[in-house]
This record gives sequence, structure tokens and C-alpha cells, in this order.
Amino acid sequence: MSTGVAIVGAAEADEIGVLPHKSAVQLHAEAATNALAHAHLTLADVDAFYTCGLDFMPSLLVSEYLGLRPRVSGSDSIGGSSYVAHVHEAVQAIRAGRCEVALITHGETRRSNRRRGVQTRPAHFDPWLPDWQWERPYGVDAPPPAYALAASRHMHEFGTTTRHFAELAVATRAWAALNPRAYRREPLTIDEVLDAPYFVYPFRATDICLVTDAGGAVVLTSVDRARSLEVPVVEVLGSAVAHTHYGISQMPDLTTSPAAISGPVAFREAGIGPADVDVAELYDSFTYTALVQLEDLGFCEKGGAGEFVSDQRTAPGGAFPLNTSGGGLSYTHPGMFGMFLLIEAVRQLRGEGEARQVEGAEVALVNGMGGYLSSSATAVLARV
Amino acid sequence: MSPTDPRAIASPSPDSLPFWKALSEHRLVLPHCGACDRSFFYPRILCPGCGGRDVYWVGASGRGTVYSFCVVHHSSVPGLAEAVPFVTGLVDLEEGPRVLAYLRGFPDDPEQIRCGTPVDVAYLDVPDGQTLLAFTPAAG
Repeated sequence: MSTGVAIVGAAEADEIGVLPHKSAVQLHAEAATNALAHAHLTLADVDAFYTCGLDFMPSLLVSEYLGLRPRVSGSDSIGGSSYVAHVHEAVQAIRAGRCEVALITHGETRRSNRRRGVQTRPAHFDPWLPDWQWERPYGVDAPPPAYALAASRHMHEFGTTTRHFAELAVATRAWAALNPRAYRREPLTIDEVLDAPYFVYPFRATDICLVTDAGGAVVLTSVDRARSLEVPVVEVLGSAVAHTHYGISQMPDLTTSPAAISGPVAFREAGIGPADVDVAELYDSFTYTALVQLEDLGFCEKGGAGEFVSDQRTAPGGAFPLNTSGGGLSYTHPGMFGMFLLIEAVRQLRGEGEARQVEGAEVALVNGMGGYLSSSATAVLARV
Repeated sequence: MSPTDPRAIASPSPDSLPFWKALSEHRLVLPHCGACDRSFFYPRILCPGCGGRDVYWVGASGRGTVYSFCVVHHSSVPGLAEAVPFVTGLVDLEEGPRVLAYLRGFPDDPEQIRCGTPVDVAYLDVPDGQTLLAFTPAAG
């Protein structure tokens, strides 16, 4: 099956990591021009634009900076999965003939913002809002305790252990060691992980994503136009979006994420299944986040992810290449990581993975997760 | 309360005032849908199950079981930084709804805290006359 729409360019900003000398919108623009160059296109070709996470009217603000007046514009935010959801939206728009070239950008200086005492996203401050009223007074004001609640229920129901989490953290770090752009590249061992104190039980620091500054962008167009660009064509075979709740206390079943909804829909559209996937890029805001997605996307049975990732199965050279960039845990995580799942998947499918290239990678699965395991956006990509 | 008790403040919204008022009187009440004949949480002006607007308040037994928990060692919420470590958990109430609350009187070792533990409601009075929801292991 096919959608007839391809990702033809994908790139990070000129640099990522700790960037106190750069603005968030500048990172959008660096990534935009880099991704367009990767696609052999220019800003003049772009007629659809999507972004989020920057101020109140994100697509207006970034379009202005880039000098764009797009025919199709989207600022939808469903959390860190948004950029994968933007791919889903762009595919529909291109297929419908509403636009030809869609640019999706990301840029956040979340790490360096702390020093300036600012937020590039609108601050969330109404104490009458449900999460401020029902979760924050009990210490659940940020992702770590929310995801910890989900992880500890999974441990109770399925016997998942913090050693399983450590297996994933160590394997992901081993991928990061192969990626010159990764923020944490020093080797990590399971014993080191298990000797560290808890940050919020059952998570230790190595179970929790980085906070960095970064930008990224991807460019989509029809497969027909892609063929004329003389770039490798990475088709979106299928995509889907789902969400089930906002706050963690409203999550229907703490051990099943909305990837269990978006995953099967995307695979059905693609006409393939989990066994056909050569490389997986799954949102790892926490070690547990990647584990639950492995189950919900059908790579293993429900409750089996701990066993699945054991013995460094997802590390370089292992049977299941997962989060080959080093992920949100060790490569970069500027607050919303979804864009970087797409960039790495495209690189792998184009054979541009350098030292971490997965041999013969033809099909990639990207899954973004947003909020508190609240939203999921799945994209099945293939080199065609 | 002791100096290390959580002192977070909630700001009751207009659609949940009766819940917070009851809690400050050490009573637990739940919003109930007349159409579904079911309680739900959190309070809102319609039933999230059917959309019905026939919503009224009912008393709850205060009994439930621990669905999940976490132990918070670092918090930036005002009034909680000094209270760490503390245990926060989701409790399945006998009436059906699931609520987030403090878990008090549980072992310090997180490996000894069990999902499924029966609990009774407790009330954590915080400054300004407000009360937060807490649960303790059920007596007996």
C-alpha cells in the first residue's frame, strides 16, 4: 500500500545540545534550510507549513521569520508527538491536492531558557485547570511522577523491573556513543544504573530523558515530485494519531498507551506489520515509554517488553535496532522529541546513518508519544 | 501538621467547589451521573461517560485500593520541596472512580509498597483552611 507522499528532506539545526547563544526561532530556521537543502528544494517551493511549541500562534510566528505565506498552515499541539502528527496532517493535505511541498519545523531552547528564566511555550498558569487542581497539589506537576505512576503499575501487573529499564537505558547509550551529535556518549553499565538513587521511584536519572536545546525539520512532497528531486525517496506508507486523556489520573489503563490505537491503524494503511520493520524509533521520554510502545505497537505481547529488551537486544548489533540516534535518553531531548524520531528514521532509510547505520534498513517505524502517555502519532516509512 | 507535611494548595474551580468544601469538613463526595447512575472523577459539569448534564453529589465510603504509586524525591511545587520524599498514588474507590492522592503510613522502602493494598480515606489539612486527599492502609 502507499500514500503517494514522501519525506524528501530531514535535518537538525546547525548544532544541537546546549545553545545559550541561539534563539528558538533561529533553530527552526537553521533546521528548515538544512532540511530543504537535503531535499534539493528551497523555501520558495514550500506551500504548507506546520510547527508548534513556540509562543501562542506558532505557525504564524515561524512562517514570518522564514518569509513564508503558506496555503496550508498548522499549529496543532498534542505534545512531543506533534511533529509526527504533523506528518500525518501533511500527508492528507498533499494527497488532497491542497499543497505540494510541506515543511515541518521544530526549535526549542528549553535547557538554556532556564538560565534566562523564560519559556518559549506559553506558560500554563490557570490554577482552575484540571491538572493544576487534581494532580499538581499531589506532586504530579511534570512528566517524571506521571510516567512513574504508569511504570509502577506495569511492574505490578507484568513483573517488569528496574533492571529492564536499565537494559534499555544502556542499549540506547550504546547507540549514542556512535552518534557524534549525541549529548551523552560516555559508556553506561547496568550496574552503574542500578547503583544510582531514585529520582522518582521507580525511575533513576538514567531512566529520564535529557533536557537540551535543539531544532529539526522535515520536508514532504508527493512521491511523483520526489522522483524528480534526485534524492532517495522515503515514502510514508501509513500514519495515524490517537489520544485518550490529558492528565495521568484520567488515563483509562495505565499499562496501555494510545499507541495501541494509532499503531494498528498506521500498519493497516501501510499493509505491513511489526515483523516487517527493520528499525524502530520510539519516543523515549523515559525508558518505560519505549517499553510500553514496543508492546502497544505489536513488537511483543502486552507485558513482554521487559523480557524483549533484555540481554541488550536493542543495542548496536542486537536483533532489534531501537532508537539508533541515542534517543531522548542520550542524544537530545529539547522538550518535544518527535521531530528527532523522524530525522533519524529518514537517515537510516537513506543509508546516511554513518557509524550507526542499520544494514539493509528499508522499513522504519516512528512513534511519537505526547503529554502523559496521552497522545500517540505513528508513521510507517519505507525506502521506495 | 508536621513541618514536613505536604503544603501544596489547590485552587477550587467553580465546577468543583462542593468537593473541596466537603473535603475541608473531612467528608468525601463524588459527582454522580443520574443517567448512568455512576460516579465519576474529576468533577465537571457533565458526565464524561454519556455527556449527560444531570450531575449531582453523593457521599463516598472512603474505601478503595491502591492502583499505582510513585515516590517523589524532588519537587518544584511550592510547599512540596520540603516534604520529599512522599508517596503519591492513584486509588480506585469502592464506588468506581480513580483519584490521585497522597499515600500516608506506607513503608519507606518502595519495594514494600504494593498495588492492590486496601486503603481508607484520610484528610490532610493544609494552610488556609484547605484539605487535600490522602489514604492510609486500611485498618485490620
